Order: sequence, then C-alpha cells, then structure tokens
Amino acid sequence: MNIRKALQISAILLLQSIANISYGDIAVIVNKQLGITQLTQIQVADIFLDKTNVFPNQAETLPIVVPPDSALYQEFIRRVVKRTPVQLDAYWARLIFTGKGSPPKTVDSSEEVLDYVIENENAIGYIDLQDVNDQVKVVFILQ
Amino acid sequence: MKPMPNAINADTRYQLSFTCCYQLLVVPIILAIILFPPNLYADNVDQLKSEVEILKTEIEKLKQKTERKTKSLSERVNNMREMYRIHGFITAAMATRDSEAVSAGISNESITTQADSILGLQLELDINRKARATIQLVSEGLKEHNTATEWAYITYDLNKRFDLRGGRIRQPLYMLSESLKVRYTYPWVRPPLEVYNLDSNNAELFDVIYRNNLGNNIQLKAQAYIGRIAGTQKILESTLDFASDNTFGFRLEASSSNLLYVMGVHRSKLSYDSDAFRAVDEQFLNLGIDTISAKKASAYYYNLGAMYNDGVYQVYAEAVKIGFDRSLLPRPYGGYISFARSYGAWQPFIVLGKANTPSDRFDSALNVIQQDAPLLAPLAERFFNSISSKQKTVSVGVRWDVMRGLAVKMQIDRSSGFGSTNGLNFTPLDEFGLPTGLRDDHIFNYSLSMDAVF
Repeated sequence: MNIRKALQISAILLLQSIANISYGDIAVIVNKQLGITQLTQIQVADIFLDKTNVFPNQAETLPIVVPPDSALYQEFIRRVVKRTPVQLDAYWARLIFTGKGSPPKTVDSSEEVLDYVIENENAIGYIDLQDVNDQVKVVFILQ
Repeated sequence: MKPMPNAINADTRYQLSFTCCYQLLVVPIILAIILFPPNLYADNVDQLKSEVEILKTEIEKLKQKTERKTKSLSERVNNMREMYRIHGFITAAMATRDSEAVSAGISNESITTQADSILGLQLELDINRKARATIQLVSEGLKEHNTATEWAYITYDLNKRFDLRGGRIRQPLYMLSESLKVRYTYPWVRPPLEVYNLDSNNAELFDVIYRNNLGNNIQLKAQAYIGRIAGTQKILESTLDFASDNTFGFRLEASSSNLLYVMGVHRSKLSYDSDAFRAVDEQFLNLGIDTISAKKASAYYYNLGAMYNDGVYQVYAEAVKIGFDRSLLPRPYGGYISFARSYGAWQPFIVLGKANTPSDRFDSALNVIQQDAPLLAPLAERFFNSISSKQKTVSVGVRWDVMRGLAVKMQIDRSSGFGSTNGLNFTPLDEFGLPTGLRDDHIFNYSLSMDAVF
C-alpha cells in the first residue's frame, strides 16, 4: 500500500515538476509607445476574448496569439480566459458566425509575437517572461 | 711562346657576346622594373580589392533590397489573405419520436436525417479598413436543402463605439438568434422549442450597434434596427405567408466575464394571408366578435435572456412573449432554463421548458359564440385550441467534444402538459381544415447529432 501511495505521490510530484518546467511565468506585453502601464487579468481576458476592442486609455486593441496547439496558448487560455480550447472554439464560432467578432491574429512563434508587438503600437500579446526584452512593455504577469 | 691571337680573340668575342646578351636581357628587365615598378601591382591589387569590396556592398544592398521586396510581397499576400475569411458549419443528425404528431420535422414514421441537418458557409470580405461584407449561405434539411442566403450585409465601422449594418440580417428575436443555425455553439441538439419556434428569416434590416465599456469590466452592446421582414410559417399544416414593411426593434446586451444578459423589444406591422384564417375570420366578423386577421395588426415580441459560463458550469435562461394590439390572435409566451456541466470533453445537460397561450380572450369569444351561434361553438373551440400551444418539456442529454471543432450530441426530450392544444406539434387536418388533435399525454423525442465548424 505504502509503495503504491509513494508511487502515486511521486507521479504527482513528477507531473507537477514537469508542469512547472513547461510553463514559466507568462508576460502580457504591449508596445512601448502604448500609454498604459498595467492591466488586470480580467481586462487581459476581455481583450483576448474580443469582448472589448479598446485599451483602458481608449486606444484600439490589436491582440496577437501563438498557435492554439502550443503549450503557451493552452496555458494562457486555461489560466487567464478560464476556458478549454474546445470551449473557446465554441465561443469563437458564435462570434464569427454572427459577425460580431473574430479570434486574434495568430503567428507561428513567441518570437513573431515579440516582433509584432515591437512593430505595432496597438499590439498586445503574451510570451514566456524569460523571452521579454527591453523593446516591449510588460503590463501583466501571470505567475 | 706567344699565344695565338685568334684564340684570344675568340675568347674575347665570346665574353663580349655574352656580356652583350646579358646586357640585352638585363636592360629590358631593368627598364621593365623602371617602367612597371612592383608598387604598381600592389596598387592594382588594392584597387581590385576595393572594387571587390564595392561589389560586395552592391551585392549586400541587392540582397537586402530583395529581402525587403520579398517581405513586402509576403506581407501583401498575408494582407490579401486577411482581407477575406471563409468559415463553415455543418450538422448531421438523426431523430425520431414516439408520436404520429410532427414537431420540428420529426415524426415516428422513420428516423429522420432531414430535420436537423444544416450546412452553412460564411464569407467575410474586408472592403477597406472601415467596411466589410458578410455573406452566409445555409442549406437546411427542413427546407429540402434549398440553399438560402441567410446573411448578406455590409458593416461599416463608424468609430470605436458605433457600427452600421445594412442588408439581410437575422432579426434578433432570441438570445442566440444570430448563432441559431451554428449548433456547435450550444450544448443541445437543437435550441428549446418552447422559445425558439419562430423562423423570421428574410429580414432586410438596417441597424446601428453601439458598444461601450461601462467600467468594472461590464460591456454594453445596444442594437437598434428597422426594416422589412417576410417569410413563411407553417400553421395548421398550411403555409402562411407573412410580411411587414414596418419592423423595428431594440436589443440590449450587457456582459461581464462569465455573464451575459439580453433583452429585446420588437414591433412589426404584420400582415398575412391564409384561406383557413380568412374563412374563420368572416364567420367571426359576422358574429360581431374580434377579428383573428392579422392584417396590419401590430405584433410585439419581447425577449429576456441570461447566460452564465465559467468554463465548468453553463446556464442558459430565456423567456419570450408575443402580443398583438388587436385581433384574436394567440399571445403565447415561453421560456426555458438549462444547466450544463463540463467533465473534460463531456458535458451533460438538462433543460426545462414551458410554453403557454393564455385563453382568456378565446374564452370571451367562445361565450359570445355559444350565445349567438351555439352550433359553431365546438368548431370555434377546436379552432382556438389549434392556434394555442401548451407544452412542458424536460430534456436531458450530453455533448461530447470529440476534438476541436467537432461535437457529438445525444438528447432525449419528454414533452407533456398539452391540455386541449397540440402543444408545439402538428397533427393531420380533418374535413374542416382543423388539426385532428394529439392522442398522446406525453411524447418522447430521441436525437443524435454531429456538429462541426471549420
């Protein structure tokens, strides 16, 4: 019994450690010229769910995301948007087919997110915190 | 002994000729060195080197230029790709029931694959930064798979807060009216019939949509529209054409992270024509009671809805009511509440629905008929029952998200509480053109569907 329990605990700890390795802190980044310094988790979720198309300073939002099959995307929507990819698909389908919204533009990698945010004043994206450089501004950190 | 002069001379000549030849060779070499000094070669090498460097720079410039052009071309291609978007949805379904009465295209004659089958394609095209066109073509099994233009409108972004739209737009009578045909977007096989029983497509509308963030992450969306609706509604197994050139309405949506509230008020000057209704109407007018004709009658439609979705629990609640400013037309109301919970890819749900048509006006009319034309009373009563709907439905089912963009759903509905009405069912007509009536106390529907979006 003890061996079995020990194995279960080990497996859980292993999974947790893998999870901790796979997903570092996620940084929500914006262009340095954008006149905001901080966003709340709900504001971030609303922007990436197309519930709002303006930042708190009324500047238009230009969200950009990594591909849905990436670990970063799945971790972000699980923790920030609080949906599974499947639930999010149903959500986007409702918006797309009513012409009321569309999912954010998707690029292939975190590097492209970074480049896009650097190049576009109204862009907002998320990348691993360790990939952030001084050419962008971090407005929210998901720890 | 004296040396031989000839021999001396020969040596001397040899030496002299050698010296001369040597001088002949050396002199040009020296001259060459003088004329073409080694540092000149060095200059040429430097020159060549610098020319190579220039060429290298030129090549680098050309390379950068080509890269820029390729990037610009790639961006243009991407922009062109982003200019239009094509999406689609499909539902393949089968359903049956244990009653000969028909509801939502389902009967007990066979397992129908027509009732819920839908195929839709949507094209969105950005005309420019401010305007875009949306076209949605839908083919439904219930409508013999005739392809209809469900949407065809142009949206103009006036500013960050206002959008203007014009064209063929679905009248927003329900909380889910705009995504009604995209069955992947909700848990059930089909939306609850107690509310979703009017099909007012072919609406040519102009609307203005206002969006604002009210703070505390509450988003407000208001929509006001005006236009024309026309369509056909199957009543009493006959097709009823209706039209209104004067339709307008207002819809308000408030949403926060997990909640959505919707309310709407809609008004139409309605006209429709039917042989059955005209004949009955003539009789009623002769008796001096109110007309059942909806000719130029004002019809009101009210809807109220709420939705909660936290990623695990999903709750829908909605109520609708129809009213007329005059005439004896039915004034039904209906509502439902639905609970769903996600367990990974599985989402079991339960729906409780109710529809009712108040009978007070009909009762008053019947009193008049019973006094003035008692022979007509039974027929009139049957007529009033046929245009009334009383029904309660309990639905249970499960949605299984097989993979992203594909869901399989199973649903069982139990309807009862029909009273003297047909509920939301159709039965064959008798010799008076009136429904023969339901023979069941309760009816079970069994449905299985596969919904996909792409």
